Amino acid sequence: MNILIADTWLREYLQTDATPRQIKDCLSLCGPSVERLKEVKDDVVYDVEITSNRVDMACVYGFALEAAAILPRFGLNAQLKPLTISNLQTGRGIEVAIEDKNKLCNRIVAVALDDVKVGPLPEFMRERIEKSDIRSLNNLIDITNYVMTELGHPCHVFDLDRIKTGRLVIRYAKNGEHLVTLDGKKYELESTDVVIDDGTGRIIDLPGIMGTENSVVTNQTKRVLLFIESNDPVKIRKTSMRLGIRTVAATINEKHPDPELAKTALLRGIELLQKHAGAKVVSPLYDIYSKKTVLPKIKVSTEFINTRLGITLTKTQIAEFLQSLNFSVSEEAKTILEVTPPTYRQFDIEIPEDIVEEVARLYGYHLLPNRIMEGPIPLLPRDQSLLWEEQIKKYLKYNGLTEIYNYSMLSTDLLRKTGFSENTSLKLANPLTEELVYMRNSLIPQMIKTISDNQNQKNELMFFELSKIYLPRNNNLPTETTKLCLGYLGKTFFELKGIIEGLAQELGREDLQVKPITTDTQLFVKNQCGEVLLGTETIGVIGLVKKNIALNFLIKNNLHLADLDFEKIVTLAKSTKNYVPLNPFPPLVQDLALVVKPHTYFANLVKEIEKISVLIKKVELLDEYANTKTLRIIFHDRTKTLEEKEIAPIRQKILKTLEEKFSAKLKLNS
Amino acid sequence: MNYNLEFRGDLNKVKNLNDLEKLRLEYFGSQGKITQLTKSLKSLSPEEKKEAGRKINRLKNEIELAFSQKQQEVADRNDSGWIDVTAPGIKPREGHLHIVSLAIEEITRIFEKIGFTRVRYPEVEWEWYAFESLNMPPNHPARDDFETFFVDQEPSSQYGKIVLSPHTSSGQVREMERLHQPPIRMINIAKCYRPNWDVSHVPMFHQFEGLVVDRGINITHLKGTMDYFAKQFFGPNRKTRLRPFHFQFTEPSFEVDITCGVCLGTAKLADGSRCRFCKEGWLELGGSGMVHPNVLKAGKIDAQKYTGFAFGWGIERTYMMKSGTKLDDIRLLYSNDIRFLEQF
Repeated sequence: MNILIADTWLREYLQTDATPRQIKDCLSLCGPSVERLKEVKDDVVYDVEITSNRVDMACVYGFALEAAAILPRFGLNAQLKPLTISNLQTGRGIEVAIEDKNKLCNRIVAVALDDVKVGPLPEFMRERIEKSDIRSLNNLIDITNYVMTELGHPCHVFDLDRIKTGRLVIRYAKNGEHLVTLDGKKYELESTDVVIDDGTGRIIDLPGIMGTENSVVTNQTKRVLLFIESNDPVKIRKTSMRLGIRTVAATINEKHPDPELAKTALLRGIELLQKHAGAKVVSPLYDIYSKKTVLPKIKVSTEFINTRLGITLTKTQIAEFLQSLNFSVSEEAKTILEVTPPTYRQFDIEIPEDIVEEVARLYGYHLLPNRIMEGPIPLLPRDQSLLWEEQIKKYLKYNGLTEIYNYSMLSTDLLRKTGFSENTSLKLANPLTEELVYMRNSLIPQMIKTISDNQNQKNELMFFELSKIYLPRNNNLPTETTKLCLGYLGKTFFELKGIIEGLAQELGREDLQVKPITTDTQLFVKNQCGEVLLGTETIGVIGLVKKNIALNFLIKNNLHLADLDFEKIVTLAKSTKNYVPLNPFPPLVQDLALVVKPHTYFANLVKEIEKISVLIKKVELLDEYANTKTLRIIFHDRTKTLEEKEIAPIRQKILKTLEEKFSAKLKLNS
Repeated sequence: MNYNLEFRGDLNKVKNLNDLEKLRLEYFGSQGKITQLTKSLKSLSPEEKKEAGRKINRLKNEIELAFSQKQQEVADRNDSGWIDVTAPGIKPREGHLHIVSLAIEEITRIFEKIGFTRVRYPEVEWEWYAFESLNMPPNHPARDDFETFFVDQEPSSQYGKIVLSPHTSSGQVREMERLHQPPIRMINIAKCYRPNWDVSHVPMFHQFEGLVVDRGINITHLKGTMDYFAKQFFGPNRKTRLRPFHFQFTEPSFEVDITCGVCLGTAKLADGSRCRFCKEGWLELGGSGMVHPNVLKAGKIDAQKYTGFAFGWGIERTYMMKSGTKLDDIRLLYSNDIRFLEQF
């Protein structure tokens, strides 16, 4: 949270020559971060970021305490002007019954005052709270806000006559109970919310968060109950967040302010009500202190502190830093200190490391040297899949593909439109929107959507995504496995297949194959798709997306996808290349134009041809037109230069075999 | 036979590059006339060889000279024509890596140089690794369901509910468990998830998490490492500072700031106006701190013997700060609009 503190108000509690800029710079380095200085009229306002563990600094006095410790470290004189509150004269006449049987509050302090006169506060006080961004209303409300801003504990003032019964019962709400807050909004409560009831079942407050309409002071108020409770921070946060009531009081109370402070705040409140509203105390001071905390005592050695700081401080220096922050320090043994924090730090200081932090920041992080670790560098194998990932991404980029990153979550609608089932996807319990309900179990749905979203920009698109998918398992975390998805719009099957063949080569594998899928599949057009294999291992699928699915995304052009199992690819990739000695003899090349039956697979022709002779090193598809496939056959011998006459019988055998197996006939040159 | 005369006759007939190549093979090829002539020397006596060799050499030189002159003449004739060299070239198709991939690679390289090894841990994670082991008890605000995504699946009695990890810090105890003992120097880069989706938040983002655990690790090492990274990544003229902060899993905790690259830490632009890119000369890089002893204990590492530091920063944010890419809407990063993607 951020708070705003006026410089003139700060100086009421801090004697210093430091300028606002110096205060900002010094405190940011060693204490609360002052994010900005704002000039307001003839004053300067500090905009201070308060971390959740240091709610004690979320007020003028707490900020002054820090400044008094930190500024002298920069050679600037600074001294706290302690808060002085005159002794309370308790009164008589009114009795209030406060009940907290279940100890829902840590502490409750309250006092009744009579004869209040509603009106404005003095201008300088109104300006102060307004500089802290709090709207001035009337003296009664303003005083509660003034005390909170000054001392850091939220407080509340009831119209005592509007409570009617004079009873305040702290209890859990019942499910479905309602209350109307002082700003006129109605809320439904749950059984985990804490409320105050007047003993008749009528709710008169949402403690620690906001007052209710039925008990708040009005312009007619004569008698008030000044009421401060120290709440359970977790309950405050849960109720405040669920109901969406994010008052300053709630944001302070959920950070567990010091219960000791509750009484100080009450006394300060009484003082101000007496002075600025003419109030008279007419009751005893009620103080129900259910959960009094015991201050922690922490033993810490100078060595412990110094080894964590990386420099050497003396015991005296350490003690001085801590004492400047109002910690009490006693010498436990020669090099061991026993440290007790002030009450306002009791929830924040628990272990020796907390003491290290206090010493280190007071010494000044900026004064510590910069060093790199001297110790041995852990010798760990690098994750091969991360290295391949980088290489594959670069290969694809340099071959014209553009990388996309989609969210890991997707919608029911997208799953359905692409024919995927939500039953096999991990579901979120608290999805943010309908767009992000399931963890994806495939990269395909969002690839199709991305192509659809971009199809108006270009006629041809070439995208890839390399990302994890999530496969649910019973009683366990899902399997997270990495997939590589490629999407081509307006390109041919062979352009997509070619990039994958090239990729396989990049990974040291020449043996990529596509095995035709001739049965019906959910996504791809039958006979225009296949399984992708590296050697004998299936690594994915490739194919033309069914028109019906494409049309769900208004995609009219041909859409080809490949979905590959990246983790399998990594296990099959070769990072070392094998050297084959160069053949000193030239190869012999023969081209055969063959007329084959429709739907004859080139791969099957190759398989048969390669069986025929060891001299056949390679069979390429030179050209394809109608039912004619022109094959180029490369013969090569390691022992001599091959001559036509040696090849002639092999060629005959090839033709014979192909005729037998595929009814292939040599096309005569016309 | 007068080779010279014959050659000159043949040479005169050469009209083009084809004729030239034919002539070259006829005389200088492996079966060519000059080659044959040289081979015939073998059968001669040493004295005869000396004399004939000299003659052949002279012949060869003369013929070669004539040939090269002819080659020049024919080749020059060939080198004619005009092209518009100012017309555009034929480019290979340009692809693009996503800005997040670029950032991850660069950040990984920097930390690898000082001995960090990149690792990856589950994104869908047990509450125990995401919170409990990091000293974040069940009531910690980050564990509310408006701060963290939960998975709709039965919780484990041992590890709690399943969440989408809201930070890469979940990898801290996993790394301690993997290695069993220090030294640890990991850089964990992964996707993280939080339920925020507006102009400055995306429900999925990336973090890089550093973790160092060893004997004698102290705040100066954290400072030095942060400063090293900042200078490598942003430039040697940038300065860093630590400010006190609070995280559950580190103690002490720090916010790391770097001087603004626009105003160079002066908070003022050249024209004297206030720099709007930074907070008074400084930019927040991210959080860091000394590993909390409870976290070391959760990772079964002796907190008496070993200390460590950790940091976990947003990839997107860090990279944006470097490149000065000011996205008015961070959601653009994951909208996959090709007009955006093609700019990187």
